[in-house]
Amino acid sequence: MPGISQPLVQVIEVHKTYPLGHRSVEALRGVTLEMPQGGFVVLQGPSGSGKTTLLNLVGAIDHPTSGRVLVEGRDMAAWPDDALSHFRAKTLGFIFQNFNLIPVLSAVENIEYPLLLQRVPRAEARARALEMAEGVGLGDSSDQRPGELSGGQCQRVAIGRALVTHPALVIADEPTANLDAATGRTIIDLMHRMRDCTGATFVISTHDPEIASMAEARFTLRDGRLVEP
Amino acid sequence: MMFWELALRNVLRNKRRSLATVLAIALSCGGLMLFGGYVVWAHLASETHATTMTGHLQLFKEGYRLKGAGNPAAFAIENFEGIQRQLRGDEVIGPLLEMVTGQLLVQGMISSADRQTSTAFVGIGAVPEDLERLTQWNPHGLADVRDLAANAALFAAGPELASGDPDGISLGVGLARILDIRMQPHGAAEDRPTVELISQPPSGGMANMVSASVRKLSTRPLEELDNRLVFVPLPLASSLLFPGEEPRATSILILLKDLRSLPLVEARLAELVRDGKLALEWRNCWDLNPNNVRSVRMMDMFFLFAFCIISVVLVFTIYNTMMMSVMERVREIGAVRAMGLTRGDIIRMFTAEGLLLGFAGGVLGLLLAIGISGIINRAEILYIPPMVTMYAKLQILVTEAPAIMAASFAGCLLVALLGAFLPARRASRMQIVDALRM
Repeated sequence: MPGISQPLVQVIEVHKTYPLGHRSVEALRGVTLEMPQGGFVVLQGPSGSGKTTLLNLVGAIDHPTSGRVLVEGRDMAAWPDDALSHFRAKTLGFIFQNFNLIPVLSAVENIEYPLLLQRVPRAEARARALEMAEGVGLGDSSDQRPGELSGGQCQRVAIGRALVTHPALVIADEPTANLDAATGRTIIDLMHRMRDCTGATFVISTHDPEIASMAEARFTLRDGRLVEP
Repeated sequence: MMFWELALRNVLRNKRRSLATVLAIALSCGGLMLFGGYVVWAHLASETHATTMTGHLQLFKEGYRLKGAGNPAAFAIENFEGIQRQLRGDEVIGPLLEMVTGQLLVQGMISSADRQTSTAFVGIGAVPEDLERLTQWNPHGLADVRDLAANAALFAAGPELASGDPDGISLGVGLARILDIRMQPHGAAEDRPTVELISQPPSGGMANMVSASVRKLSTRPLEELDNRLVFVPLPLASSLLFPGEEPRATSILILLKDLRSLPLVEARLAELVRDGKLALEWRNCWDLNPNNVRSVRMMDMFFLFAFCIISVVLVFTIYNTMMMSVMERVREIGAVRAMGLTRGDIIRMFTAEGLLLGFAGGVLGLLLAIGISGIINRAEILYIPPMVTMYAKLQILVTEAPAIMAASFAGCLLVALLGAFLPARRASRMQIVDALRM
């Protein structure tokens, strides 16, 4: 497991402005922070504070209006779209609030999917996906499709899918927002456990103080600015 | 999860919509194949009909085609049997020949002494067996018009000419009406009406006359021909124009074993003419039957027009289906893009789904076309085609025309690709963050 003192993510004086009709909305206003490697990092703040915007920038699915975002020391601002796709496939894992599983695939096929995108041989991909399904506690539900799974099980699949490629960084945007409190805690426990197993850095956005209290590093955003918790 | 398997599952995600799209493609594709099968039949029937009228090639004396109608006898080929032997013995042309025969165009007056009537006529002097062989020419195995009950009356009286009937001629029904000639049904040879054929010999002087008996009346395809055309045995026709001389012909008619060898034969004829071994000019069946060529070209244009219209409709149908699929899966597109799918991957994913719809529709359309064409071909649908005087059996040659099947099938895949591409491109260009917010 890498030492947590090395920053995996560096956000330097980042601004992000969205056009909204004839005016613009400043979602981030000069945010600067570092996220340690192997850490369990939480971004907290009220709705509209800029958490998701910051996660999108760190996850290389959006570009800052100004400032720099470095992941593993690399600034991807000028990268072409295909290079960003390959970077995301190899380095990042995503866990979404709405799970965003592929409905026509079974649980294990959803977990397997990112491996096949990386051209991992099918047999090996299936073996790793089954192992991951076991690891996230899917048990007998591996062959069921998302429509047949509970919210908690869907999020387990999403966690498995995010981790199966051994990414350095897992980005989870409000992963417990659609779950009841007990299931949410279970999911956060699972993330902790998987972090310990894989050494991946988890960056989670939440406005649940209980989840935030379980973080090793915590950043609070308000009106697009980093504030003291 | 393999690429095509995922595409198939996505296609089956909304079964009703996919089924409707596949059916639309199948009906369009099947309809196109059926129409194509009809056009192919029209081509082959037209080619066969043209060949039975004129053979594949006709050789004439120079200038006959332009001026021969004024005095065909003046353009008669004296040694036509020698030329026939030359062609049969030619190392290039000989093996390609099915038949070579002479025909003599003759014109003059025809009269019935019994009925005291007369009128002008145009006669074709032909070798009876060769004429019969020509009319039976059917290289593509199309339904034989002689087998149709509707044509029974036409063929009941036997062939136009017969070698054992040296003075037996056949007239158009209109010409018989003009001459007030009536045939006895099942009448004996001695009961047949007699007519006199009178023609001016090319050398001038007194007109010649021969007597003939009418063995058959046939309806000709045009009123003008029906009122004037007479088939005459070649020796009788020749004796009318050249009494006491060797038979002559105004044209040497060539029937090839295979029409595809026509260019080769024409090239050889040109070579023989260039080398001074043949002093004739020729016309091929397409030059001699321009209306047939125009008719089938018109059918080709209809087919092309239908193909274009159907293609445009199908492109929009598939576009609509795929666009709905894209709009329903926006968040999923955002998610898989975040997971590392490139824009190209997204385009491939949706176009693959479109191709699967096109493939399924094409296969179903093919099966429909084969099934429906089988029913139509067995149903014995009869009609009288243009420029023909007998019933023909409608045939839809789907399986016999693999090129049409392949083109229609490929067309399905192509329009599916086109219809799916724009929605796929739109899906690939979505901003990931916007897609995830939907």
